[in-house]
Amino acid sequence: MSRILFVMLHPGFLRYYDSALQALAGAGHDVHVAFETNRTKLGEDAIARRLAAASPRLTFGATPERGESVRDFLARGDREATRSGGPGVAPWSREGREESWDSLGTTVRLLLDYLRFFDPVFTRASALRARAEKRVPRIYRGLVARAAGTRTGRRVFAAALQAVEAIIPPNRAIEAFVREQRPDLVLVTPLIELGSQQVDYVKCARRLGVRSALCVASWDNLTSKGLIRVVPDHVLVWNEAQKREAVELHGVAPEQVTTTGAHLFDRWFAARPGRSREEFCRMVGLDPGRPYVLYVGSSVFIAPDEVPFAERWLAALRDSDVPGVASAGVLIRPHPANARQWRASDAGAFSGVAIWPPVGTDPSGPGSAADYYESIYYSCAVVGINTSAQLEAAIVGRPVFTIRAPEFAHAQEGTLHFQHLAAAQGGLARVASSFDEHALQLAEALHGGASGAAGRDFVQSFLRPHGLDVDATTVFSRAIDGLARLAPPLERLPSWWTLACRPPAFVLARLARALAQDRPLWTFATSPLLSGVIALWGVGFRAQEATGEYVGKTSKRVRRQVWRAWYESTRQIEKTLRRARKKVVARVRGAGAAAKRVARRSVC
Amino acid sequence: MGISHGVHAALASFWRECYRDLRRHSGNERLPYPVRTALRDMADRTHQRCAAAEVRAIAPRLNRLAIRTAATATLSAGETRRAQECAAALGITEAQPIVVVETLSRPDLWAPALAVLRDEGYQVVRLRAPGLTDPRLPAVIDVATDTPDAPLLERHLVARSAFVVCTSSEGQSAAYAAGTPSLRLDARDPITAYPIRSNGIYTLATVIDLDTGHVLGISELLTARYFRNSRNCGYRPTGAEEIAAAVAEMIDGVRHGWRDTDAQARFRRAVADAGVALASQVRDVIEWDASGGFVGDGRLARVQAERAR
Repeated sequence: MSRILFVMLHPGFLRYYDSALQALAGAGHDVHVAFETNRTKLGEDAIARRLAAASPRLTFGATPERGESVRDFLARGDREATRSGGPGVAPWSREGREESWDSLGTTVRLLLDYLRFFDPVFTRASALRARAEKRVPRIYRGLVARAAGTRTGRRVFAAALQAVEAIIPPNRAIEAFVREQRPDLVLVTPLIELGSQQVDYVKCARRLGVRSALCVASWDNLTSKGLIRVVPDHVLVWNEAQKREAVELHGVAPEQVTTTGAHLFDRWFAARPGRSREEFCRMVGLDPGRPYVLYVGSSVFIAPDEVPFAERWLAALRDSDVPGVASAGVLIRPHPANARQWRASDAGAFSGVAIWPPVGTDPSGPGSAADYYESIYYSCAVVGINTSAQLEAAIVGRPVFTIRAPEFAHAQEGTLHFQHLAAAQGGLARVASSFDEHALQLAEALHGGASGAAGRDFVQSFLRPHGLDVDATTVFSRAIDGLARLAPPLERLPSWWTLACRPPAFVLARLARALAQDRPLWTFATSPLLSGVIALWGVGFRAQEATGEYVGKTSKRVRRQVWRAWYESTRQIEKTLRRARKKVVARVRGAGAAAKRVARRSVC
Repeated sequence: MGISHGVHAALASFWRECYRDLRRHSGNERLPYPVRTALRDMADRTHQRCAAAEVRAIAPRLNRLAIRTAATATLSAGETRRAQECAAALGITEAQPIVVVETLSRPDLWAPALAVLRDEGYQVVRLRAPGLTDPRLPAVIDVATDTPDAPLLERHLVARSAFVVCTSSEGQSAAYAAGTPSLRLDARDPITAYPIRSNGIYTLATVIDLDTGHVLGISELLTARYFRNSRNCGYRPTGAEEIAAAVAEMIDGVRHGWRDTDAQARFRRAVADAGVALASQVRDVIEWDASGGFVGDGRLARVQAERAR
């Protein structure tokens, strides 16, 4: 069968594709999953280990290291960071060239991602725009804002950036990696992260004549993140709504898009509770005799300050005079990546309220999936701001509710994927504009009036477009299987104009690398001067050191010679003197003896 | 921002960039070791200069001493008449004293305090922000803040109010401007929200370390570590009993004059001392003009000050 290279940003994406990977391995495909970055904080690597143990056809590893990752690029622009640097690589060396191209690539991609949020479709998406803006070096921000003022400006600027993207050569290490893997198909996900470098895999696949496809991981990917800057041969989406987004917002040709359904939710269709309601309620600390509402937490971007809102919501429920609402139990389920803030929650002060699982629980631990399912299954309504747990609730058949709140305007009206949820647009959630309205809606659910049947149409159109009984994992793996069997496309070598433009574009790449430091412009004048002065200082120091060494050695030698000369001469003098003294003494003694003899003779 | 602040900001930027360059070169192993050591020392000195310039570049948001002695703003006779008509249309009677509250998002926390206010004969007027989803409360008069007359009506109500209950610095400032006593709830640190005038009281939110779930004591909130690490903290609102006690203290102060307990006076001294000590380390202290030794004549609510001992 065929060999597939699946490039993921980090192991967290395995959560979306584990069933699909098993299905592909089961169909006889060899799949190598390569992660661009490592992430283990929520136990994501455990899934990789489990899958690798389950099938020898599934292998996992890292992608080749880049000269400059997006994280490095952003870290270089951090004005507050304190770090010592090395001497840096020479710009003309291979490493230096690759770093420069990486910098240019990341700059262009971040600019394109920022630019897309000026489109009239995103008029209300100020938070998304701000998030994209934060990643763009300051110097470009005004330029983009000015260029994006008109439709023509946006188009011209985007076309210029796309042209630069076409000139940037694919990364050599990545090309070598893809060549070494010899895949029949390259899959990438998510590709639309802000500034994502996965573009290079698509470019390498094109160049090497390998078919490529983007697997859209989640329901908000095409509207709340970056752009598909280089369109792969195929795009696999969940449903028709995403297909429209891919075509209208990303410029993908309709025939390149395949709808597969949301395979990550398949297990929800097959799941059954393992405990009774009484057991479950007792475990989480709720009264089994009362119905309960499940509040599902949202991610950090959607609800950075969710706790005060949830407490207001609880207070409104408990204060409500709508029958049944005040006495209903409430189970709060924090978002696993946004759970910490619930440590400050005052929810325990309300009666009949439980926060579960406790903050800090491993979301991929044993039994956690079953716990999650049961918390939805035994609830009579699910409330949340804007989160994928609401989709899961729709699968289980529970009515879904949300409340518009001013503090979450950026995440509700300000995001396009919220429109999929809102019932007014044919979505599944009943949206209330006040707590009073919300209490009335909840009362209906608590009394069994809203069974969640309204969500069935949504589930069919949004999560299982090929039929409620058709497993999306099977559709997805068949689609991949089909793509892998297609004849490989022709190798697309770079055109003459891209080759011709590469040398001048390299100047641009060096400039992009310098500007990515996000420093004030005057530093480009002073920094080389300072570097020169420091280099001269270093040279001077070494010269002084060398001179000092030479002078020191010579003087030592001379000193030694002088000392020796002096020493030897003084020794010689001493010797001579000693001899002379000896002679004198001998003479004196001889004279004395003679005198004594003379004296003795004269006495006799 | 004044010119001198701008100059200091430019200087801070200059020193910061020099520091970055020096740090970068000090890690260059091609340079002789003594040169790198000297560069590192220079970088440290540059960083100190940068920090000093950054402190000088901070433009204070307010002048505590000026606010303490500032005259109160009043409405003209015509404006007052128009505002009175708007108030009457909303059912606010002139004969009965009022208390303006900025928000009442947690009826459960407010119920005892509202009972105290009602028992003491006050009308409670809530300034309701546009788009707010908070529940409507019985015996609380809502005033929308997005109507054309709202700014005038707000000023009138704040000026007429026996005292203002607020959760933001804007609400506190409006009370200062009108010379109205204020009760600021759920302040997130003891320094920036400290009431300037003697007719002000505030309460502190309960601060939780989000890593450990540990509740920070009030004395821990007067350290540089807390200010630097505030992103790692969560806040629990002031409890119902404490709000009711603080409201009762306000009513007592309005009627019988403002007196400090020993605990309140001690806490004020501790905050003022902390302001001086933290001036060079914490941006907020300078920004909120608490570095000069004067933090305000107001006080922490008695119920919390006793706990802070």
